[in-house]
Amino acid sequence: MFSAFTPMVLKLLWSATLETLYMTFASGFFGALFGIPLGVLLFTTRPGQIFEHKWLNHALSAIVNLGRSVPFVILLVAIIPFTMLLLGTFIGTTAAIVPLSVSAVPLVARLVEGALLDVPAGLTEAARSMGASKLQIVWKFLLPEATPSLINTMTITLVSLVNYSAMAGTVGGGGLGYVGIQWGYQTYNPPILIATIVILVIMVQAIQLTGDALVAHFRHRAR
Amino acid sequence: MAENDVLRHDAGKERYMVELRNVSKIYHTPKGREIRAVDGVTLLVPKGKIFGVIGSSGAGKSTLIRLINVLERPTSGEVLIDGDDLLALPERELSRKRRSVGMIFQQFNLLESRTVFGNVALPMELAGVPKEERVKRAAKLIARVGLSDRIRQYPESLSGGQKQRVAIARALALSPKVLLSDEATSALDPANTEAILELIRTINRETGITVILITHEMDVVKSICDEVAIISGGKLVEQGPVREIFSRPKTEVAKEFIRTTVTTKLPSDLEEKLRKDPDGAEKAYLRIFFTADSEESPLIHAASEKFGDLFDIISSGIETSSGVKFGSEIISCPAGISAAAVAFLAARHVSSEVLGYV
Ligand SMILES: Nc1ncnc2c1ncn2[C@@H]1O[C@H](COP(=O)(O)OP(=O)(O)OP(=O)(O)O)[C@@H](O)[C@H]1O
Ligand SMILES: [Mg+2]
Repeated sequence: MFSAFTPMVLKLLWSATLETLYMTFASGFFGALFGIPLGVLLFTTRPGQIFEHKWLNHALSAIVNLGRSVPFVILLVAIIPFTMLLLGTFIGTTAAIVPLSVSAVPLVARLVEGALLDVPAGLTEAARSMGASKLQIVWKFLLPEATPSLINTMTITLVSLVNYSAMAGTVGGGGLGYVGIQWGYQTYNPPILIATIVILVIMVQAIQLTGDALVAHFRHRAR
Repeated sequence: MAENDVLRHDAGKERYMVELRNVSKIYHTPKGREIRAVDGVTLLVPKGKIFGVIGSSGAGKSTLIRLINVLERPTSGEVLIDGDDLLALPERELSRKRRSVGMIFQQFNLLESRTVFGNVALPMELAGVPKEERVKRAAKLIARVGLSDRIRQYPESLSGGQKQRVAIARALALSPKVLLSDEATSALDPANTEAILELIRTINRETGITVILITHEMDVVKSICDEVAIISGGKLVEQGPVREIFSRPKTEVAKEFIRTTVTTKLPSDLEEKLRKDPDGAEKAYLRIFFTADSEESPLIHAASEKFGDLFDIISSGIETSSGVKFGSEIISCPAGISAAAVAFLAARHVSSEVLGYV
């Protein structure tokens, strides 16, 4: 069985692992970059919040729902023209980051909105009573208080992205998903298939454990 | 006329720290029904006083206090703090003005992500106070509320009373002229309640800060307020110095609140024996309420003269607030004359209730 792991295969698995990490974290970065502000807007434009704005809230919410309801496999294909426009190609790990980021943004946004909803409403009240400006309320109150939940948000997002990146891999994206399908399925080779699964499991575990440790570090509350 | 107005306004500026003039706040339910949370309230709070606002749940207390620092804009009326018309200010300046009004809450509303120090320094951070001054002032305030040894801890590790102390230090960080307290002691046990009220009183004495304190407990008013306003259904029903309200409550609402502070308990063995049904009963037990107007001994004396020596005092609790005596007492009398006794007492402005029969 171990004869399956020739130096070439090992090298392949290694570079596939790096590709998966690259796709996951790069799209996680863009997901956070656009998703967190969007989530903050979703929350702050709700009724009774600092930037209350009915139709903007409805519009943003509808867009986010739309993004969340398109199955990733379909998004992967549907977004090809956009990726072409942006990068001139839709093949390769870098190109895969586009659909991955696009799917991460609405997920992050909803989770951030939820995290902010968990911040006690009294805090905004206290902030206003201190004469905080609206931006100060976001920066000095809401985001710091939601930090543990925001880290949780990113953990969930990264784990999803590990998953999605495997799917993206099948459409020429590379990474462990690609290797798993190509070597484990199409040229039937169970040891390699299992190896990709093991690596993915370890990756997800590592992300989860790191996330949990960070949450524990930032949470100063007994809950 | 115009000159007169100016004079009057200046006089107001001298005397009152907070002036609410005919303010109303109307909410609309999704179904379009109107809720008059605050209804035409005029409230004048003299400088340096501890002013209580009491009312039962839903009376509009929180809405009223939030109108004072304009966390909520009134539907109509005027809000002045130290003579400044807050409603005329644009949002930005209103935010600045709010720094002269500190506020504490039932749920403390501390930031869990910041230490005691971080919480107290926060208002100064927002206001752009230089770091060095911030550190010095925060340390001083934290010492003032007795938490120097907790300065680096997070709120999570503090008791409710300690959290409220941090909140008080934070509310005082920008040296406000007014301190607003919305049920600040309602989540605390009696010992902590007393300690927090004591702290507020000392700070009021030392700094001359005007305090407006919202509560649903008459005990709180009794222990620290100079003046009190009673609100019910969004309306201000009675207002005046605490001793006056206690000695001569005019409204039923006021009387009811006073009763809650002096309710003398029945002995428990007696409580078990009491029946609601007067049929065939021998004795009736009554609880009566005194205020300054209705001194206890002459009353019992008069009663005895009228009915003969038929009254027994079972237990009595007399209290003093701002030099006013008031209290309640449990008495017994023959079951047959209980109705007459109640009428007799009522004629002398003493309210009473029949607790039961034996
Ligand atoms: N934002 C709001 N929208 C609609 N109705 C409101 C709103 N805020 C308060 N009310 C209503 O106004 C009335 C007064 O509420 P308020 O919170 O001021 O009462 P309260 O005296 O503070 O009561 P409690 O002792 O329970 O805190 C209530 O009937 C409440 O339901
Ligand atoms: Mg309230």
